[in-house]
Amino acid sequence: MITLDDFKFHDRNLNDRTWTETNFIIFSNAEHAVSGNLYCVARPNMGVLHSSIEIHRGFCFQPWQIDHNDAQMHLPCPKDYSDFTLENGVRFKAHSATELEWHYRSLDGNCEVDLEFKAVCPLIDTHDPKDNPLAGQSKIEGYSGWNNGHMEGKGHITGKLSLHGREYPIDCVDGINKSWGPRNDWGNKGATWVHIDLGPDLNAFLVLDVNFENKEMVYGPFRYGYIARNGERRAVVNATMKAERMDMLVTRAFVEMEDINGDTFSARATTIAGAPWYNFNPATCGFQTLMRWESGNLSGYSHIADFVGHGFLSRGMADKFSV
Amino acid sequence: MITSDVYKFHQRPQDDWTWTETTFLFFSVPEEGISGSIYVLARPNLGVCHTAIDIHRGFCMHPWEIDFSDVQIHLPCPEDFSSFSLPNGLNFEVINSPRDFRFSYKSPDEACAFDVNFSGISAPFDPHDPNDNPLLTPENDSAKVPGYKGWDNGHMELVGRVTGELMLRGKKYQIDCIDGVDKSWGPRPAYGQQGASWLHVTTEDNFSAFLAMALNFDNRELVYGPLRFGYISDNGENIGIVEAEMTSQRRDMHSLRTKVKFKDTRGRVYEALGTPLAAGPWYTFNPSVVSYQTLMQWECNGKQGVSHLTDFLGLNYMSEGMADKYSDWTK
Repeated sequence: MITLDDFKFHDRNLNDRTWTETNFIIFSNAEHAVSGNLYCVARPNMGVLHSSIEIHRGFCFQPWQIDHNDAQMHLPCPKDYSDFTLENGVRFKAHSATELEWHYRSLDGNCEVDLEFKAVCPLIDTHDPKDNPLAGQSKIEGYSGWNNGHMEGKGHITGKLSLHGREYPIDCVDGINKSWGPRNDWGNKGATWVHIDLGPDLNAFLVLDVNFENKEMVYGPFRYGYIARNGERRAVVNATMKAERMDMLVTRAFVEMEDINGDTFSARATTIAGAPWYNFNPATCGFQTLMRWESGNLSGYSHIADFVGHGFLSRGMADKFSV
Repeated sequence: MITSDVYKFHQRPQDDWTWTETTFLFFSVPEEGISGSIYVLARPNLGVCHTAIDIHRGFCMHPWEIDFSDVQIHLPCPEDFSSFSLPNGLNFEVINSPRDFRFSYKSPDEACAFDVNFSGISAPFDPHDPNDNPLLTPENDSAKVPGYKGWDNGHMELVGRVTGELMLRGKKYQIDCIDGVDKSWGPRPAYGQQGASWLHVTTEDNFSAFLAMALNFDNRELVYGPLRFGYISDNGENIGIVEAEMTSQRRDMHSLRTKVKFKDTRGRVYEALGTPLAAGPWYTFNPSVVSYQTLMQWECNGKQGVSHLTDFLGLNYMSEGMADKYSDWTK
C-alpha cells in the first residue's frame, strides 16, 4: 500500500550509487492542445538530482518545436523528497498519499506552473498483490527502473500554466508515478504508459511492453493496469493496444481491455498534441502524446507515453552497422 | 596560456556547485560516413560526472536513426580528470600533456568499443590569452560567447590527428582523421545558454582552421556571426584569425552546404566550401543543450579535407527562436 512515506526517500543501501527515486506528473489543457511534464530523477546516495520540464502545444515532431524545455541534470539533491525546492525553480509537496502539489518558476521568468493533484482512486503499488493482482507479472522486461519499488496514480489535476505572459487553466485527469530502487542508465528497453480518460466516471490505466518488429514499434505483452469507475479501482487482467504513428509519435490508438470481473471495453483515440522528450531522462526518450479518447458516448483527454532507452531505440530503428 | 595541468581539475571555490569541467573529442571514418563524438562533463564539487557517446553513419535527422548512443548523467566524478575510468566503460589518459591523450571505451553490452589516440598537430589555443587570440583587446573581451557561459572562464581548443580503431556490432573500422578537441572549466549554469558554432576546416597539407562563431535566430533562421575567435594551424604554427563570415543551407537544423570565408593576421584570405558526409542531432550530449553535428568534406583554396562542424544551442534558446508560438497567435 502506498503511503505518504513513499514520497520520501526509501531505506536503501547507502553504498549503491545507482539508487534512484523519481517523481513525475503529466498535465494538459486540451482546449489549447497544451501538454506538459515535470520529472525528477534523484540519486540521493550521490547527492544529485536531474529535473526536466517540457511543455509543448500541438504537434512537435522535432525537439526545436517544443515550446518550453528546461533540463538540468546536476542539481543538488534535496534531503526530503516529499517536500522540496530545487535550484531550477521546481517545488513539490506531498500532503498525503493522494494530495500533492507541484510548482515551477523558470529562471528567466517565462514559464510558471502551479498544479494540485487529487487522486481519483487509491494509488497502486504495482508489486503488491493487494493493489495489483498481476503483481507477479509486473516486472517490465528490460526496464529495471520500475522493477524494485513502483507506484502509479491517477488524479484530478487543477491549476494554471503561464507561458510568455499567457495563462492557461489546467483542469484534467491524468497520471503520476514514482519509482525507487537501483537503476542504471544503460540497457533500458522501455514500456508504454497509457492513461485513458473517458469523462468524470470512467478512466483506465495500462502498462504494456514495447518491442520493435522490422522497425515498427509494437505493444505487448500487457503487464498491469486498472479501471477507475466512480472512485472505485478495478484491476485490468487483459489488454491490447495498437497504434499508428508518425516520426515515432502515436497519431491514432486503439485499446481493448478486460477487467477482473470479466467486463470488457474498448476505446479509440486521436492525437491532439505530441512531442519527443529526449532529455526527460537523457538515457531514455519519452514520446509523449495527448490523446482525445472515445468509447461509445464517452470522451476525454489524457496521455500516452512511449518511453524507450536510446540503446534499444538504436537497435530497433537504426541498426545499419549490423548489415 | 594553456599549461600541462590543463586536463586536471582546476582550482575552484569549493562551494560553487555549478563549477564544471568538460572534455570533448570528435572522430570520423570519412569513407564510411561515420561520425563519432565523446563528451565528458564533470561537476567535481557535486561529485558527479556525465558522459555521452554518439556514433552515427550518414544522415540521421532524428535521434532514433543514430546508430549508437550511451548517455549516463550520474556517474561518480573521478578524482583526477587527466586519468580516469568511468563505470560506463570509458577510459581517458593523458600521455603527453597538453597535446596527446587516449580515449578507450567498451560499452556495457560490448556492442561498441573504440581505442583512439589524439596527437595535437600544433599548440593548444587559449581564446582568453591575447598572445593566442588577436581579437582580444583590453576594452573588448571578444572571446566571451554571448549567452554561453561555459566557455567564458577557462577554455582550450586543440586540433590533432586521431588514430585508432572503432568496433561496432562486430565490424571494425580504422580511424585516421584530423579533427578537434576542446576543454572548458568554470561556473556553468544549465539554463539560459544560447550557443555557438564550432568548426574545423582541415585540408591535407597540414592546414587546419578553427572558428567559433556566434549564433542567432533571425525569423526562425539560424544565422552565423560575428566571429568570436579562431586560429589557423599551418604546418604546426598557430596564426590568429581576425575576420570570418559563414553561411549555411540547412535541413532539420543541420548545416549541410556551408561556405566559410576567413582572414588571418598575415592578411591571407581563405574560402572554404563544405558538403556534408554525415549529420546527426545530439540531444543528450548535455541535456540542456543540443549539438547539431555535421561531418564535412571541405574544399579550401583548392585543397581537400574532412572534419566536423557543430552548431550547439541551449534548448530553451532554441524554443525561443524556433517554437515560440505562445507569444504570437494565441491572443
